Amino acid sequence: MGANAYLSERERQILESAIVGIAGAGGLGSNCAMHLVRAGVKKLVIADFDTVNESNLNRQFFFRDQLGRKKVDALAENLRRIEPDLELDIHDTRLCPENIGEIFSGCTAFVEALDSADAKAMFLKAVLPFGKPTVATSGLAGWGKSGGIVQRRIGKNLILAGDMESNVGDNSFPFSPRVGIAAAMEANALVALLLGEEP
Amino acid sequence: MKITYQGKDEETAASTVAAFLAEKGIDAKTAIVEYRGEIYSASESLDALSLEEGAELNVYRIVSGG
Repeated sequence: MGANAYLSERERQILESAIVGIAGAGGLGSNCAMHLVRAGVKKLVIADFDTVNESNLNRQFFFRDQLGRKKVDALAENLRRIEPDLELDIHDTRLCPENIGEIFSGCTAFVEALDSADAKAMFLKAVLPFGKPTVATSGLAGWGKSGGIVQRRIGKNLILAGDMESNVGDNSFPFSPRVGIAAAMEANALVALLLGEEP
Repeated sequence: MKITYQGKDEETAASTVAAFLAEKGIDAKTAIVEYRGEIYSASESLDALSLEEGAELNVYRIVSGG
């Protein structure tokens, strides 16, 4: 993997053996997955029900020739263009309390990358009891105020990134730079947590 | 009673964490609560969680966007 040139043998083994469950393959999930793969993570479980549409191209790790494709399929294709030998377990499904445990039970870490506050809360409620390293976001709409996006460590295993207030709603939208900061922050914190270091 | 809320002293009449969130106008369904070192999410058992004098409470709002 491209990351191997920069990792010790111990670091490489830890990152390659991690199984990271990513809930959502949109602005957060697609970009976070890209960062994790570039950092040396090899095994991902990714779930999303949606298809790539025109407005997604403002921030998501997809391309114009992938419009109409299932996001999980298009993301798997793009991630394999970075590292062909990834182990990807993709699920074209809408997450709900009944299927989260089944889809993500084998994971050693979790990324919350969903849209709505209700879905984010639902996912966290389901995975926090596993006691695994988990990263999530809250508050990333708009532009500017990069420094407002911070990470908070809640308990031992949870990192929450965002400004906790910039809600995506009727007059407030997600844009690539600020969503990208949050997605990179999720990946960055998760790599540190996996390596047993301060996130 | 007096508790520590978001790192600061806070006076409250609420007797449970759920009542405290209601007092603050925070939607418990989309909040992560850190209380006495434990994490509670999505209003799970907050009704039954008694507030205790001097206890430390942190609340993180989850807002939409991804």
